Amino acid sequence: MTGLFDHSLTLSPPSGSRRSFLQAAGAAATTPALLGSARAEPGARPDGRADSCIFLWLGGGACHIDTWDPKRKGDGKMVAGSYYDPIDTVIPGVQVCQHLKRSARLLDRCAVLRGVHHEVIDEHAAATNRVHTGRPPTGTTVYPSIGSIVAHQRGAAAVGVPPYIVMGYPSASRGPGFLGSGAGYLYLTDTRVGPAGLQRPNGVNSQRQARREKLLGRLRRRFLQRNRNDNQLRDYATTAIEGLKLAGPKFMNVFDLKSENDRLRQAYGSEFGQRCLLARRLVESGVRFVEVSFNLNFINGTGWDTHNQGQKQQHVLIDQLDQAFATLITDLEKRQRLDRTLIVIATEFGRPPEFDRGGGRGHYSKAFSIVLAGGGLKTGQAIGTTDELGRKILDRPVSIPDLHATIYRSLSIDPTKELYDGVRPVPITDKGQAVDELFT
Amino acid sequence: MPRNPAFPLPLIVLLAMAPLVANAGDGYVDEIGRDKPVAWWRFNRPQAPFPSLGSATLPARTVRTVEPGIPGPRSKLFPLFSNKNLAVGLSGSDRLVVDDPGKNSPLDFANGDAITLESWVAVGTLAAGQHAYLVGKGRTNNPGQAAANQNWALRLTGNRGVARISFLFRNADNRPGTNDDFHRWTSNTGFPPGDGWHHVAVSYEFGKPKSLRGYLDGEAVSGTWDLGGQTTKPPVVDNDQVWIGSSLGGNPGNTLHGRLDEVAIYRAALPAARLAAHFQTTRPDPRLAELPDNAIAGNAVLVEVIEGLPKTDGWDFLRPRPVERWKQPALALVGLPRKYSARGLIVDRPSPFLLRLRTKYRAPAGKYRLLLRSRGAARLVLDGRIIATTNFINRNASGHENVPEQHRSNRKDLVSLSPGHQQRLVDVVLEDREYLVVVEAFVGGAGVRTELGELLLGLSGPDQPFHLLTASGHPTVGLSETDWDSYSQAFARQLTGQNDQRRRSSDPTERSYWNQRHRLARSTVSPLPVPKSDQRLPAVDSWLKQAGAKGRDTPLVNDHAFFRRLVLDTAGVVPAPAEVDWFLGRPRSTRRDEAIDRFLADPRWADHWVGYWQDVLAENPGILKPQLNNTGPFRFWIHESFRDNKPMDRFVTELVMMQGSRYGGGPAGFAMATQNDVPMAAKAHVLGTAFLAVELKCARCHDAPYHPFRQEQLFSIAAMLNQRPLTLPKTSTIPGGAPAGNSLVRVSLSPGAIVAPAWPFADLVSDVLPAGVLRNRSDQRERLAALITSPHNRRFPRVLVNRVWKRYLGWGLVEPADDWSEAAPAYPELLDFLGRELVRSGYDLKHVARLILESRAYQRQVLPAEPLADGARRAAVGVRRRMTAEQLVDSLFVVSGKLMKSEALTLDPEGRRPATSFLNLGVPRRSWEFAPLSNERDRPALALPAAQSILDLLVAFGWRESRPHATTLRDGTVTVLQPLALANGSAAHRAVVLSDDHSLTRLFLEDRPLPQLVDRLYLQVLCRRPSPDERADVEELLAGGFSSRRVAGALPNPPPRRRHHGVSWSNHLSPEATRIKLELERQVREGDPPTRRLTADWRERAEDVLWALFNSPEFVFIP
Repeated sequence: MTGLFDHSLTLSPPSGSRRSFLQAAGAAATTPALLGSARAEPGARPDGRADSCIFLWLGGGACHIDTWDPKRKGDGKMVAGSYYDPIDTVIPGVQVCQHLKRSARLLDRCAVLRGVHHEVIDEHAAATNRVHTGRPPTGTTVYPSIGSIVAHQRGAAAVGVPPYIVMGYPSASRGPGFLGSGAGYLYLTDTRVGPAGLQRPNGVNSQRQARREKLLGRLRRRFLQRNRNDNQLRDYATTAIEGLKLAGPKFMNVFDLKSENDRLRQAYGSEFGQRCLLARRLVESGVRFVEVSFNLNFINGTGWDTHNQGQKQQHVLIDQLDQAFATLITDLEKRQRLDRTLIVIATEFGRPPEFDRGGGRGHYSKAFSIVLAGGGLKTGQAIGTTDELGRKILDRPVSIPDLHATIYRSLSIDPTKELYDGVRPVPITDKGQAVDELFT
Repeated sequence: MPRNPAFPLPLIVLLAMAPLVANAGDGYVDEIGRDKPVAWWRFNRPQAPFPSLGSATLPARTVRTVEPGIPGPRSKLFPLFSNKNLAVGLSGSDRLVVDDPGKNSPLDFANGDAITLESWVAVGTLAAGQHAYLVGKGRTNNPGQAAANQNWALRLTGNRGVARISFLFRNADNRPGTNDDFHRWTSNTGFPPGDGWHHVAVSYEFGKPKSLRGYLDGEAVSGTWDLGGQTTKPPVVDNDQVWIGSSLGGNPGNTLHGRLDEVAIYRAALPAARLAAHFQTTRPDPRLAELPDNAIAGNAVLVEVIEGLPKTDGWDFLRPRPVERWKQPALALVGLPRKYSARGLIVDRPSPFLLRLRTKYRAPAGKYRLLLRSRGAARLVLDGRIIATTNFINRNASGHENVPEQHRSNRKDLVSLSPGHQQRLVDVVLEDREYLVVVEAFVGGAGVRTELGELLLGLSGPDQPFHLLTASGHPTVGLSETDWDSYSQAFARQLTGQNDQRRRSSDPTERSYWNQRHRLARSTVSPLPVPKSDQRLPAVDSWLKQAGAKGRDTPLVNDHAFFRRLVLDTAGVVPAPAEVDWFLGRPRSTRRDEAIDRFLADPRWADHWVGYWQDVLAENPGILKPQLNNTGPFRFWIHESFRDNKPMDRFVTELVMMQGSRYGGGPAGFAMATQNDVPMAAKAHVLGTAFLAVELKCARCHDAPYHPFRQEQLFSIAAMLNQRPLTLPKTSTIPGGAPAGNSLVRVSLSPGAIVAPAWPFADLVSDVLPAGVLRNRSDQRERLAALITSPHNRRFPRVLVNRVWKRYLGWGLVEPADDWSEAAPAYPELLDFLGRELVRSGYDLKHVARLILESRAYQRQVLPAEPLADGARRAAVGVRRRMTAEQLVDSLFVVSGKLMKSEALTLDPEGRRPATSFLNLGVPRRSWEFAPLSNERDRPALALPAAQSILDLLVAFGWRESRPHATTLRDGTVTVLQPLALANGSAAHRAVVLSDDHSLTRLFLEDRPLPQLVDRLYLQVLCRRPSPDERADVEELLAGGFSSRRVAGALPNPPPRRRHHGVSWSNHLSPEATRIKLELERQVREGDPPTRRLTADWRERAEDVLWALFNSPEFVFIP
């Protein structure tokens, strides 16, 4: 449980009693309400240029030496090594696997972090939690996810839009932890259906909805008249009205992928590609952080968790990732948003060079790769080197807290600032240092 | 009467001896004397050294702090002993040491030598995987001795909650660095720690691997050579010491934590009859007398539970006598009654166990088809002939299998097969006579949960529908989908009652102990006389009046609102229409008091408290490979505690003692904290906030900056919970020591510091306890529990009553309720009064609840909650509270009358995985039963769509899906997700859609005028009548087409059954599994099919009205 102690060493006593401090903290905490107006830009590092983040999540643990950090080839059985041939990229001397051919041509828009590491390998939930929160779990609090922290710190980039959306299954690892539900997310599991809670139920057309809201309006007005001066009731009623607006056509149109031209939709490819397209539309609408899960395990049986048989069709996953990622980069570039949009391809861990008895791979977290793209970073570089089979980091290790610090800094969030869990100060990262090479 | 169940013949001998034994007062000497031990330590002296009474002179001296002169097994339960017999107590690194006399000593055993080792032992605690030594030669880590030089050892091994007998030796090869030279035998059965005295023994002839025999309480037990296999190789022999109670240099993990007596070594393999004679007890045998087949009648199905089975799959073993027995009408089980300890706690049955169902059955002569269904191995025996057998569970469930072909019967009369189940169909010709029908079924086994699934025997005649085999005189039960559903539901209801009955009769000794504790408490704490008042004010109001509370002008809330508030606060849901009718039918002057009586007695009281304590006690089970500071599902113990209105001091004691089932719902689940570096420190923190209102969060890693607590205080409680000193790990400290600069953080403990068990809060209560309180003085957990719940500890009852007050009025007499470090009680006398009432009532929470609920303070109109409670505190009236997530969700289901229809909360419905990695929390019926769905893998095939739809609503309203730490006050932030989840979410949509299982559909089909229907609608949703304006709004919308709303002749349109989709962990990686789950997601989104018995147009308008009522803030807030 390293890093359990993670709050400020420069804790200064708040003026007045602890209780008055609590009340002050409580008062400050009531303002965010999940749906927000854009918050004042935090002044931190002047070199962060991104204003939104698309966080692509390869759940299961994508194998680094079969994707972004190719090594000498193995045979899928006894001889350890990569499963595919390497190809050159537009960055001299940097290769990726043969199934990332589109991304290889755009790798100058990317930075490949090849020395990412942590020590959790035995269970996906624990490793997923680590990469999302940057900390081991404790018995004293719940740490917020990176998406919630960004939502909390930056709010949404437009009025009437949620700051944080997840395309994938809900879990505590993606949640707001001690930041409270105001920093939570909306989620959806299918691009053809809007987020849970926003999509009107089956059989309720706009005419019925109008009828419902009209009657509700009357009921609500009478109830509030009977209970004047009750802020809590008024807040709830106001928020409900805001919520129904959010579920209205203006924001829900963002989810209408059919309004994009067919060629572009085809260019994005699979359901994962469609999610990436939706992510682009969401950040354009003002959503600050979009997590896109690539969870369609039926493509190869196991998803990125390529034990046993899962290895055989892994190239189909890689190809879909390549197509979607490359299209996302060019699409954002065309719309002149790439510099302001940080794309992250993250996963909970890598996989070892050895093959298991079924021809697949186990889990490996001592070295793996995470890719950053756009976001106004100094791209076109691979940072960190691993040994001949990708087992050991030879130079420039990047811890998960370092990765978080890098993402925060690129989004102009001070990576050294403190969050508050009640009165308890909690540094935004667990001693993370942003990767300086990415900032000019 | 002495017993000796395995050997009826010697029993007669023993009976004949009984008077003699009683006269001598120590018949044990005679028994052991007959068998001539070479060494025998009795520990009957008040101090060491202890002589050996065997043939050799081998005194045992003590090392460290062995406690001599404590009670051993005594005549009351064990008639061979005197009533003054003494024993020794050990813990930590304690041991007794006997020097080896040298070469060829009587303690050396080589090939060809026979040995018997025996001991009496009372185990305090024994962790899973822990090997505690009773007696062994070698492996002492003494300087100059070879490592691992184990000549022989008798040990106990913790495994699945029981202590198993372990025999260990090392062969003479003794190659360093390999485990292969150890040979270990472990018994398949054992006894639970904390269960009093037991007799354990092994006999063996070195060089003859088949000669090993193990004995527990005088009876032979089976076992396996589970390390190094059996061998003919000779053991290692040298001149190392014999150690009693420990090994490996005194390693605490290898030291017995408990009491030891009568350790004996024989140079012979004693026959079973002799070892049986060494153990005599008047303790009742938990097993029942065998009921022969000819005693079975045809008017019931006799169900028996048989425990003590071999671990291996197979039918070929001697059946032990059953331990439980009951009768039921049909040959079908969909669950089993829980097993309870003598403390009334849920305990696990040993895995596997066998169910035997027997009945006599007679049918008209003819051809029949029999149907046997089971999850695990089962067989059907007809008149002694095995006619059908199902397989043992296939445990290899890696995820890569195919979704099994759905069992699709072309017969509508047969329910589909549940996941992981098997069936056998057998055609038989029956004569017109009685047959003996026996079904035996295994439950559990190595590597799988002890879960029954569904077990049934059906039959059908030619061209007849299948039905359950039912005892004569009972109605026939069909096997169609709907018949089976209603049978299962009735079975589950019946099981709840059966469990209540079993639990409440399981713990008479415990109850008398607590009665005695409560008598002591009453004699310690005097009542606080209520101030005299001119009116007949309730006690609470008298105190408030005396303290000058200002709220007396605030009027009482009206009856409807009071009733809704009361029912939400007690049953946790809005009242049902029939309950409202009952309430309004009572006389005006007494109806409030009558309602308080009725709803305090309502069993849903327990449901409403579970969610609260899940938060406060950080109950946090994980259904899949738990790794995120997870606990066991001790929710079921919380629920049962409140069902029984368990005294709160007993509740706390049970929690602190952490006994019972770990994964099956007992308080042992509280002990778990996965991936936590010091689980007991986490538990100390939880207990501190929950019951003492001391917030030790910061003290987890350093001395607390805002609190007067040092890290050592938290760790000294943790050490009490740990039963021994704790070492502070580096990970629980500040890296680099005390921070530099101007900091409030102080560090007084360094990594590696050892903290001893000690009570750190002498300012709350001194650590001296009255005599008779502790039942085991060496048990630090019991001590801790007794100090928290001591009547001298004034903090504990006040913390509890403040929690109840805050729950009902929305603000605490002391704030924050879980941290009193700056406590300034609003009404100190009232707090003191309520605290004393709690103690004097025998820690009866309902008594305190009643005092509050009957007060005017509770019954007045509420004030706005913001600005924060100060006004309300001054006025002493309640504040506006939003329903909790659980109240809201459960109320939606009460109003609609629908079932939740969640999937069972498990990712292994086939039951092919162990409880350590896959839990099954069952099908939830109330919100507290939910748990996080653990789909961090993000796989559609692992989604539980129906459960997720309810979780979405729960989470939006502040329910914590993950509870790694304790919380008293949930996040109350208003977010758009709340109204949106109610407006558009799938769970709320189900409450709105007027399907044929919606209670309002039935109402709207009734032949009543519209105004009456609107009245009933309002009553059902908001527990009041509409105002004229409101009525006009609703009638305006519903008047059109009202008279023709009913569609003549339309048939009900029942919601499709969502069950048995076949997806389980074993096959979730297949494309088919994903397809099935995505389709289920779609179905859940689509919602229930609306009724066809109302015209679509009118029904839609009625649904819109219902939607508006649910979405009005009035529904969400407690009046």
